[in-house]
Amino acid sequence: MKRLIAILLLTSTTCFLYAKTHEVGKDKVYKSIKSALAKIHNGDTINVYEGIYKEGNIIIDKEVALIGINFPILDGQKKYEILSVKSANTLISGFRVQHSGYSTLDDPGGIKVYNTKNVSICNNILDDNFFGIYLQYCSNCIVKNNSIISYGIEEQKIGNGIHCWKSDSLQIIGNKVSGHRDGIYFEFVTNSVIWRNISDGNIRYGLHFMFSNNDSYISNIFRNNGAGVAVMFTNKVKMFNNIFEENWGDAAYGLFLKEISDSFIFGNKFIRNTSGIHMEGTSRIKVERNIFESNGWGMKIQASCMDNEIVSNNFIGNTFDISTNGSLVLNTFNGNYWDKYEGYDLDKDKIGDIPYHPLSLFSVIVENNPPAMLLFRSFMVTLLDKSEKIMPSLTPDNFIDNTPLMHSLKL
Amino acid sequence: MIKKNTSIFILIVLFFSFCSCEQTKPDAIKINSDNCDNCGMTISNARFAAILFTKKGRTYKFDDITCLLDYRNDNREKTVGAALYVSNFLNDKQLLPVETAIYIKGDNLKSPMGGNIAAFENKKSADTCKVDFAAEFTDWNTINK
Repeated sequence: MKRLIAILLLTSTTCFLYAKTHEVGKDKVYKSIKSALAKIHNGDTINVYEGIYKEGNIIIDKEVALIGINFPILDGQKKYEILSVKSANTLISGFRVQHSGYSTLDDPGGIKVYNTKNVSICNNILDDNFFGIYLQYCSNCIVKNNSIISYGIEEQKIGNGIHCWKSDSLQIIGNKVSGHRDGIYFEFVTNSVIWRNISDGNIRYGLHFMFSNNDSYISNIFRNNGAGVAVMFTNKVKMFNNIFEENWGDAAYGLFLKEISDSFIFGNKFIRNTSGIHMEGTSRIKVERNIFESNGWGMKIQASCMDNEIVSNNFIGNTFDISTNGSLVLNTFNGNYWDKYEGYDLDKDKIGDIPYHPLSLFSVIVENNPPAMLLFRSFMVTLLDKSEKIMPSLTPDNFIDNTPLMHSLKL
Repeated sequence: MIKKNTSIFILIVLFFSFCSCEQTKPDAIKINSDNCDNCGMTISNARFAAILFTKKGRTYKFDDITCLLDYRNDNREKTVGAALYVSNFLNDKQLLPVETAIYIKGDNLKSPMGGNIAAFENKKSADTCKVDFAAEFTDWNTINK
């Protein structure tokens, strides 16, 4: 009997702990999200049914799962920040968040998360907001499978798609961002991962990294952004299996690296960019098993770079494989495949018997005098390049790949 | 007589055509198109932008006042006698000479390169922003190191 009472007591107490589910909709108990939020307790769920909710700024200060069913519309009427998340352990899923306000004072976002942790923002559509999803001073947050779009008409009035600032341990997964200033923006964000996102058609950068250490970005697609992807003033970044393509323009790059150290660039594809990778002031970076195809320049390595290893990459169909602006060579090239290599392999070990000079004389001339590009493919230039290959005079003679491959790597 | 007139005319035309070669004021910044001449980033926020205009009439553009100073410090010889300008935070089409602008500094300003300094035309307009951004006043001598 005692045991039975004990069991009854136990089950009854747990009953009180069960989270409740509340419903918001036209014909439900609550007519607005705000009224539901005012009544609920931590840990409850709110299901929001179809409809247009114009409730101004909705502040979420309780631990809640806010779930939209059939994409209810949260409209900011171009005046308000729409969702402000200030509580931990919160889920926001299944909403169409549109028309946030614009202000340069407090950068309103479609969904903005303030100083908290364990927040998940999943499966939402963000349409025409100033900033899409904005995280500041956050940790352990997930931003997953959101579709974020903006329409950059007035250039300055466009914020970033996913903007993360002074945060730690974030997961940005499977989002699609287009039409924003920077697709994904990281400033002072550490120990985070950006995985399987598609960032295309943004006004400035597809991904913009600043002062963010120990992050990785893996299997993303960055396409047709104003200036490609920029990774700056950062160390220990891992960039694996991304695709950088169709970034064209005078100052557009597949990947722009500035002041980066101790990082890895593995297995990426750089296809049809003005420059595949542009490096400035980078050190101790390993560039391995990447494909550089049909770029204007495969890699531009400024003289300020040192101790970088460029190993086992395919360089195919680039106008220039490599270019540099100085005579100092502190980087090593080994075992790459260069489609411009004209050497032979007598010992049949699949490695060319004579070293390859990836730096053509003309690319050095163009680097110093861009208008010289007019003469490209002229007879004189071809002649110069050939004679330079035989007797290097202007190009640094230690700028070589000693073990060029005869066949392209299967990457 | 006619010949004399034409030669004077040609002289005048030549005189003016040579005059126009020299630029007297800096080029405007094209947002989301021009790159910072120091850090290479595309300039997307004109309110923090800065300009260095050399004696020879070349314009260098920067996305942040710290980039302007870095560039000036790295290129002392080239920039001797150059005029330095910053954008007015409240009217980014207007350029202010660095020496006379009023500055505030604070982390909440979030400038592109973390300089977090905004410039204003006068103290009155700086005052309101100083409160909004919880920033502090600073001056050119402090910034210009």
